[in-house]
Amino acid sequence: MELQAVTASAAVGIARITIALFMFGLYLAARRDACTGYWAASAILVGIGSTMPLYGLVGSFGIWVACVTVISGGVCFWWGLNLFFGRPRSVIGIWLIAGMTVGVGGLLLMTHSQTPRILAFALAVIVGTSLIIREAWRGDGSPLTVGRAMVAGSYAVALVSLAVRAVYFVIGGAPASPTSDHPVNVLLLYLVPLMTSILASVGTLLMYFQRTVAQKEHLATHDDLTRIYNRRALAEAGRRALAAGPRDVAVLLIDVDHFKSVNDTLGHQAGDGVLAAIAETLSGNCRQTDIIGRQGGEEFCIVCPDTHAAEARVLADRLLLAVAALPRPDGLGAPLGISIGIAARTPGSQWEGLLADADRALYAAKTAGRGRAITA
Amino acid sequence: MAATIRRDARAGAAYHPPVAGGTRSLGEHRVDLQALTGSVAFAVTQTAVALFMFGLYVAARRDSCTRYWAVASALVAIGVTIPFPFMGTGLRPTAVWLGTSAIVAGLVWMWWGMRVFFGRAVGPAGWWLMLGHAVLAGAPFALGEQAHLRIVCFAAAVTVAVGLIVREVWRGAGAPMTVGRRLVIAAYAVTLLPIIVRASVLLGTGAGVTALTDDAFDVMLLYLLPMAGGLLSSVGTVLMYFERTIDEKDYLASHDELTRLYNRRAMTEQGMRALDAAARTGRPVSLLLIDVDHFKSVNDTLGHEAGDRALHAVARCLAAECRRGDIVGRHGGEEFCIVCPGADAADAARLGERLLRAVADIAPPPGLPRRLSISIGIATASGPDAGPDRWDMLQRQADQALYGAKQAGRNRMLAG
Repeated sequence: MELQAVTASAAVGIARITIALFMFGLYLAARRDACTGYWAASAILVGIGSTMPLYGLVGSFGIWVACVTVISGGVCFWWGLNLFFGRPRSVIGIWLIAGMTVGVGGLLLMTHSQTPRILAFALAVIVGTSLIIREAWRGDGSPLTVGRAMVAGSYAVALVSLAVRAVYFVIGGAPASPTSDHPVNVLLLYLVPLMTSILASVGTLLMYFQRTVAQKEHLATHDDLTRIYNRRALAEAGRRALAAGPRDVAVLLIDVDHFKSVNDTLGHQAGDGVLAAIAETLSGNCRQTDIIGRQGGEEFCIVCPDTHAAEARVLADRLLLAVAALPRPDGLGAPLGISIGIAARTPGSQWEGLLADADRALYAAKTAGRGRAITA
Repeated sequence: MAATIRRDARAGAAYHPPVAGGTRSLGEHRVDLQALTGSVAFAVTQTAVALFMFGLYVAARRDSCTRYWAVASALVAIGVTIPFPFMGTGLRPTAVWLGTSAIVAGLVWMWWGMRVFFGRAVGPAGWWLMLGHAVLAGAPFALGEQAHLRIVCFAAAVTVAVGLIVREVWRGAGAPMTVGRRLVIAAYAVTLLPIIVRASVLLGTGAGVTALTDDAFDVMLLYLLPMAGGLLSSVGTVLMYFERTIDEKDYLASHDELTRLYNRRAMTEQGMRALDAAARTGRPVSLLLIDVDHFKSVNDTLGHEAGDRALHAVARCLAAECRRGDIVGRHGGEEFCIVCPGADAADAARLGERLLRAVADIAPPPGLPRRLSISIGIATASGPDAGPDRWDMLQRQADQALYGAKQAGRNRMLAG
């Protein structure tokens, strides 16, 4: 064994052990989420498989175990990605592992030449890595994130690096021994993969992390029951609309008529169903730029940027009709209805003031007999 | 690997950079290669670390601790890499000085990020620490090329900085220890140990010092262990940050924002768990559904802000009156919910009495002509009636009892 390759492979081995530790930490931190379990298993398998030559396990049996372990690790990573993006684990993974087990085992039994075995392993690595890159790149249809780019990019670099090494040695006719101290070997077999394996594992964490952050933000800004903005997020959006310049802003405050009687006669679950249905109707009848949220209880609010009072009135009439057209819940005496208070921005008005105006208009609509809209 | 361990007298001889294309003769200077490979691996790893810490910063830009960590990792990566281009030139001592200073500054910066992460202020102490470390790391160079002094000063500076970091992570923010924090502490121990061992060996034996010995011991101490430590500490840091994000998300998903009590979803989960436990142990479970009387009028006459304050007061009152083990949540609107594991109908009635009195004692919101009051509906399940699938039924029973209490004139309780 020559010095350089040994040091480099020791470095890779140490990094792999670190990564396995860390991926296991991710698994625990993520409350044993299934996809992180696959990733942890993958890191451990690849860690074991790729460091086996270090421990002197280089006989036929050792090589066979190392090949199968590394490929299984790659498949586990891919399965983790499948689950993470909400797809079932693909059956191709089983075929890859089975093919590797039988193929390399058979080659080792049949021939003493290393070349077919190396080619079979390279083919499996290329297939596995391509599947991983495709999966990370595709994602779940949402725009590419830093984490996903890091995973896809790292695997792509690793793939290119292994391919270049293979081509270099095949064309040059030099022996492609993993223990060769040739700088191309050390660089492409150890140092580049050292970098890419670190980046891929951390990219995985970032990917998972970014989704968690997005979920957290969604929870913090959305109402659990109706899936529209909650009060705080709505106030933020309203303030932003007012701060965006001297443009028209209209606010619609909406209250479900006689909602208490729905809860009292049909129970809370039916009441929740009514609220969800009304929220859906309201958002379905708003324009793209309108911001709709639940103000609390049975009260909703819509912020309409670039809208003056007359336009808001048109929208309100549309909403009144749409809610009135909703099917009446079984057992309810009267059809569903809403009252709307409209307020439009006046020079110098603040969010709280605008909301108070709308609230007064809503109160007026309620006292005038409900089921109508009144402009402040 | 043991067979390759050998010391070479020419260690530290000027390094001849490799010629591109692999045509370089390996014979003469082969002995340099091991340390070279080790240091390249270290530099590659630190560059990867800097890259992903920057990735974390991009993903979590709002938190300023990630900025400190990204800068720290970049400084360490620069510190580890900068001597390379100047090997064998007259500028090497300067490059090594710059490198060590950058590493030390990076560690102080890391500590700074940790303080920010755990919500502690840094203040001018941080800048003094930075200055002190710069002096400590730079002094040996001002005094001429004294390798021993440099290594010992560097070890001292790193020890102080790492000690400070470990102290921060150990203290945490008062929460129980996590995997990420344990990893970070272990990682810094791995980083610090070889630096101290090397400095002690130098002081003890006065051995020749150079970064380029190919002795496996040196390579391990100088490059491979710090490489592992650097990698582990940074991934541990990312993990630590991530753990907190998950906790925050779980809290948001399971708690009501206004009252800080459990939200409805979490109550359903807790209720089912309690019923499950009850079915197994044979102990009863009681459910109290609580509605604030005439709450709509509070909102309508005093506004939503006052209504929110009243809800908050009621929530605090309920939480204070409950026994340990009772689970309190907000069901939505002005409705609360308490699950009492182990409480039979009589226990639940006693708790209900206590709650009615306690809520009546709350100072009424200014402007409200009456005191706040609640109505309570109670349902109890025990033995064969329990089991997680009975949650809906239990809830319906309690809801009917609550409705009965409302019909009977409010400010009272009724068992279903």
